Amino acid sequence: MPRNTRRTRAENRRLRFGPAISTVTRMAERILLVEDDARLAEMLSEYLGGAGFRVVHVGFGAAALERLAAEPCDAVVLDLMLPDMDGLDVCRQLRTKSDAPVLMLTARGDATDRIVGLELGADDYLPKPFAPRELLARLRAILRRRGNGTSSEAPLCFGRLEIDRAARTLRIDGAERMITSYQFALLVALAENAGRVLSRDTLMDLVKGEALEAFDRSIDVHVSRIRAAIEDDAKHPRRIITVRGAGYVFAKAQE
Amino acid sequence: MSHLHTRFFLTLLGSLAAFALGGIAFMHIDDGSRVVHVVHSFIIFPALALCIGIATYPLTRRLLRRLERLEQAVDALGAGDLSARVAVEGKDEVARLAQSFNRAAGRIEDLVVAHKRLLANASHELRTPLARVRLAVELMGESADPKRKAGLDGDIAELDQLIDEILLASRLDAVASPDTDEEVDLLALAAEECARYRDVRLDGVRAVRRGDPRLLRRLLRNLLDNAQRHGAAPIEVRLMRCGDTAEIVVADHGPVIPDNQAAHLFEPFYRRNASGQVSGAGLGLSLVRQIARRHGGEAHYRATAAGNCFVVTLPLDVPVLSA
Ligand SMILES: Nc1ncnc2c1ncn2[C@@H]1O[C@H](COP(=O)(O)OP(=O)(O)O)[C@@H](O)[C@H]1O
Ligand SMILES: [Mg+2]
Repeated sequence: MPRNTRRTRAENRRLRFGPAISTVTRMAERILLVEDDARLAEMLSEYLGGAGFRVVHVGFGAAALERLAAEPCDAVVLDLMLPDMDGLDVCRQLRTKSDAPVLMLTARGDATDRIVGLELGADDYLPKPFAPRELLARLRAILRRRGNGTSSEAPLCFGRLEIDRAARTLRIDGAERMITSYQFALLVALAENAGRVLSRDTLMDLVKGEALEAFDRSIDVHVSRIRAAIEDDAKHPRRIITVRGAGYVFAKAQE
Repeated sequence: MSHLHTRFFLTLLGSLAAFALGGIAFMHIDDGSRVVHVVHSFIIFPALALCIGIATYPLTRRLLRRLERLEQAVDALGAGDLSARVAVEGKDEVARLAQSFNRAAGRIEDLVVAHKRLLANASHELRTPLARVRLAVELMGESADPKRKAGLDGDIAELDQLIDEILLASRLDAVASPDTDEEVDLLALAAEECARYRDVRLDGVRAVRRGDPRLLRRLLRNLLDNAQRHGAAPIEVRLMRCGDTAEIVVADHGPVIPDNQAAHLFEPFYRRNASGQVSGAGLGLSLVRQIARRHGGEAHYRATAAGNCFVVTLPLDVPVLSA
């Protein structure tokens, strides 16, 4: 009999959603889900519920604003296209009523794709069809950032990967991964320059200030350690890519 | 006096009548002398012309003004101002022309707005169900066969890509101006796209230019996807610089495409083997070319001794074209 059929429900859940930190250590966080597609909303509620969130669903922008006035929530997941109002307007009005972080669901190719981050005040956005795990990672990231206090640096999110520069932690699917602080600095330098080729010299310059632990090791060794921590398959890296004769590039589009 | 021709006719008639009256008055002082004769022949015709001219001047001037305004509106519409309309004055032919122009312009504006709205919504409408499917796959959890799940994920990605291509094709036609203009590191982009495949070899030099990163990614992805699906391993990607032009080459080792087929490769919906199992809408290469041109470059096919090559040239210091 294959081993995985004997897993307990809790184990299955952990596999699917990562560690259920929120259910164990604090009260379930309340998520206001504003989505007009009833079936998607139902499934999202089930999924987020399974990950330990309490989900309240409304299908209209006006209802969302009412609901928010009636009872506070910890975060809002907001669809960009609603039958009664533009999601952008909802977001703007929401901002005046509450400081709960907003995760906006858009569709790739929307012109709004690009404006969203810039002007709307949504804390993050995710194009449909999103990978459910990425939604979770981003939701947790915006909640955590809110918890850390607003002054801290925003975490960098790349797909299911989250780099929290303020807390100096690294997570995949919400599960923390350990690397040394030098490696963390290296990763931040790479991630802050995602989509650009960085030569080894440039990288060394970028992390110069860091305490030189293990100075005998080359950049390549550190990179392979980081890869072991963040790549799904370290033999075929998709996040930190070697460019022959040029250096490394941190991928901009990740899963 | 509603019609233009009756107005002209009446004006002419009026001026002729005025002229005839003047002529009759002049006849009375005709004493048969040469002087009067000369005066007659030198004055009659210019006076006739002057009379007609003076009588019709306000009419033609007004007419010309209205036609000019109409012309301006047509020009504005042609230049892309879809809200251009002309004021309709009176009930003559010009007024009717203005009315039909306004009707046509209104219809064009409606159609374009509808088209834009369709494009804006289509992405969302098509991707919401796709998001549902993706969630459903995730919700199946451990109970489902991992292989089948991976297959489903692949199908979803393929559908997503197809939606992207179809919407992009109509968007590039409908929207002239580029959405984004950012600095793009072409080598980094190529490295990232090549890393999606197991054994694609990349050789290249740094090349940075401004452009739409999403479109340039799509360009590379389409070429790589084609090499993978229609060509044969090994696949090589080269990024070179020749002066102020970057050249991206995607080469594979499949059998060379015959000339008569190669001529059609970049046409929308063209597929060499439409009945084959390899799916695709045939939009990939036409998008590659459209994207290259939008960035001031070009896309070509080239047969080599080793196999097939697709070459994209992109000027490095030219701003994104807006046409
Ligand atoms: N690398 C290649 N090797 C052989 N044939 C190719 C290659 N790339 C494209 N083609 C041919 O050109 C056609 C058009 O390509 P494309 O526009 O990308 O459409 P699609 O990939 O959807 O069929 C393909 O159907 C294929 O027959
Ligand atoms: Mg193709």
